[in-house]
Amino acid sequence: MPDVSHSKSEQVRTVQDYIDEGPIWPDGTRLPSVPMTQMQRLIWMLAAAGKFFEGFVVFMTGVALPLIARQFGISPTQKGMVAAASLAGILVGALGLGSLSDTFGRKSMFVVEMIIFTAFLAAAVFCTSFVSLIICLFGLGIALGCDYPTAHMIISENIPSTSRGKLVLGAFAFQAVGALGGAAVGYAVLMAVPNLDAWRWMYATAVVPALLVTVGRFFITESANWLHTRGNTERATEAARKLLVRTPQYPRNIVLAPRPTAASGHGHGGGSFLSLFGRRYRRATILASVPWFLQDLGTYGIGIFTPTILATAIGHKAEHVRSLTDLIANERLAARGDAMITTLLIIGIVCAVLLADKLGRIRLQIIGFIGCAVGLFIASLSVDAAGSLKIALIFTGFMLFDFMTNLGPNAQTYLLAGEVFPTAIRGKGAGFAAAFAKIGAVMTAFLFPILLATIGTRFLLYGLIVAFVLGAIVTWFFRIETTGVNLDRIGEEANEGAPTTAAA
Amino acid sequence: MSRHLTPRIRWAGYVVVAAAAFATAQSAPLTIAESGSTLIYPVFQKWVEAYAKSDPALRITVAATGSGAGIAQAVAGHVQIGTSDAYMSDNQAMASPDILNIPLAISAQTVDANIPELRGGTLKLSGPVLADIYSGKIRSWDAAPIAEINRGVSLPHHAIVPVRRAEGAGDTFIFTQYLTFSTESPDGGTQSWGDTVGYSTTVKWPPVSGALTATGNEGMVQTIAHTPYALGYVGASFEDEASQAGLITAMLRNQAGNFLLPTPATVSNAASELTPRTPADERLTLVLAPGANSYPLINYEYAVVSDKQPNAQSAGAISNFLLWCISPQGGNASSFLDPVHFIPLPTSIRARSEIQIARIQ
Repeated sequence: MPDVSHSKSEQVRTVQDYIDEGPIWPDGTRLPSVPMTQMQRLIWMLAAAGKFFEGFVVFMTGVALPLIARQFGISPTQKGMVAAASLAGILVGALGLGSLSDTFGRKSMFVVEMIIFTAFLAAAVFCTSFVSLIICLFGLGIALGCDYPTAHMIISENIPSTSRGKLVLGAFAFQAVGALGGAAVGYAVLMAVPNLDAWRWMYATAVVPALLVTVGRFFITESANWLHTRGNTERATEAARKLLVRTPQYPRNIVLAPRPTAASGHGHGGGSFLSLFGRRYRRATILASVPWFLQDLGTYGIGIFTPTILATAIGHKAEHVRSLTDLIANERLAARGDAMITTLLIIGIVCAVLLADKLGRIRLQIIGFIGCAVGLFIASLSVDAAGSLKIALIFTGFMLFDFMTNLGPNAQTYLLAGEVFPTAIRGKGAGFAAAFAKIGAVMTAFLFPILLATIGTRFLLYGLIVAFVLGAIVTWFFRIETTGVNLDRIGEEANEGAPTTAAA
Repeated sequence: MSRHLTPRIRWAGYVVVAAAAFATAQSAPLTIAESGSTLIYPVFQKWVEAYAKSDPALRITVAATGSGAGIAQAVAGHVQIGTSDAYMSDNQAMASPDILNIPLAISAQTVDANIPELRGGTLKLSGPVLADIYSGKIRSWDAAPIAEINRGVSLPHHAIVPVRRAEGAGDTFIFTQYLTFSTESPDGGTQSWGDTVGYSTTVKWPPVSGALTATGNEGMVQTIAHTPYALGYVGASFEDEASQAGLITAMLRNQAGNFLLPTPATVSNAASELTPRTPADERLTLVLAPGANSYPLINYEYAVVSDKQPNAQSAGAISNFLLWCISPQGGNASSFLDPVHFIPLPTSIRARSEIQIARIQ
């Protein structure tokens, strides 16, 4: 039976305090760590599953596109529109839907995004034209964009602060695992159905699992952290109790003190998009957005070498697509190449998962940025080299970059974006950071071919090295260390505009 | 006398009527209709004449309507054999899974020009240059990109008149595919042909002032011959007509960067580079083959036939005729192919075609 008596200090405890509290047995033994409850595990698995299918479908679209292009007679110009449709969807999803979770709740958007995802995925299977394809990819993009902030928040607001880094990044890693799964399934489909309709089967394989994940999301609790921030103490208490069901029960009772609502303008923030650029949140906004933007620049930069890496490692594509058989063979090569690169990516992220809560986000992000700059510099030396030395330099630079970006900025920018803002404005802040990075990504996608033609590979890479060093400097200058810090404390200190020190 | 026949007499009557009907069926010649490619038309006519000697009961009608019409009429069931220089697209093949694309021989295409000043001389052209001519970016014969690959040749300062085929033509498919493939590489100019026009039996040609259209290969040769400074693409089976009209056959740049004329050696070399990549359904482009000595404009000449014929007699007659066409002792003999500058199918491809022909039921 819950203990109805409580001390004064318990009255001012936050939801996160209860989540972070290590169980103490009746004999006074304190557990060394905070065990996950069944609900916490369910939430994490459903978030990770969502990430898995995102990676799966994004990869599938890459493999499916040449087949779709041939079936619908899509010109190279229209292919650009296909990429633009996904990106536009991500922008709308991250800025629009992601930020709606500050108003309608994390669970609501967590469910809605998966419904959107599954619906457009199922529709994509039956696309009959270029226009219907664009609509489906836009819809899928919206779901992807919404998931950037939502999946992060649904995990980080429901799990102990000390393991937040590894659990958020662990789920994030499932995007890469999904891409690897997509490679395997894509390859198998191309073997089993070697015709133009293979892409429909690829999408179809994910529909039923995605539907199951959607249904599962109806059964989780709403974020007690968010409910409490909204001033809904009763529902927050109820949600926290559902979240922290243990046998024997611990904490035995949860009592939350009423808090001023975000709308009142007091306490833990809240506010419009514009408030992200005010004095209160500027530091957090810069830390969340600028390094992420710079990281996306470099990802495109190293992409210059991807064809060389793939051709050397797994063989050349047909010199021209002369038959459907050629196209399918090229697709299989592409699937294998992507699987190889994704494996590198997973190794980096696994290291990030293991180290994020130990070394700290800021340190890893700075190490990663500098490591990437070194990788780019090694790759730039290949411009003057020839033969096997050239290939060796490209491979070394590429692999170092890939490992370092996933250990550092690729993983940490995602993690930080969902941590540095207070609960009331977290959806807007993390959504803005994701959208800002994607705007950078599309700008570079358009500018790079022009820059490559005008200044050449070497100077383009030098420019990117400067960008990555800048990334390290910005990260240090605007640092807010969030490792192990209670989310509510993060909110308070972001308000004050001071760097938070590691508490783990 | 009874007004009713006795059962015995009635049965006898049935037998006589049935026998007469059978005899009529046996004696009536079976007719197979062919329609399509104007490129294969000259040799197809000769095949039909020769085959008539071995199967007098079979009547084959031929019509040079263009490859696009050949495919369409075969798919619609209006003719039993459609002929085409282009294979059916993936979407056409998916929409009509019963239609086979059977290579009968390997052909080539030439690019011919009417430049009075250069009659009897040589002219070199490349895919990117042709793409720029057909896009209107290169307007004069002495333009720098043409002069650059024709050093030492005195090119006239006259406007180029590009000629295109009016109807759906396999020749257009082959020619535009050459422009597409050869402008895919970075040296192909600012915007590739594939980005703007692409390849097909009919394409949306970029507007070029003064450009002309012609119907069929014969029409193409006549149009170029009657128009000084005209340029067009002509099937190899019309090479003799083009030559007699004083047209210059251009040396074309291949994938290795060499400029070649279509000869039995350069066409065979290109074929040997690519025919091993022929898939089971035999829909494969042979344009811009790799290899230093590969002529870039070659193609399979296809018979487009349904594998479901209305009766066994028709299926048998079509199968036998097609088997004769691809046989080295039949239609693929040099006596038929040499005059039209075709080359026979390699043994491995003939075997694949035979497997497809066996599916006609």
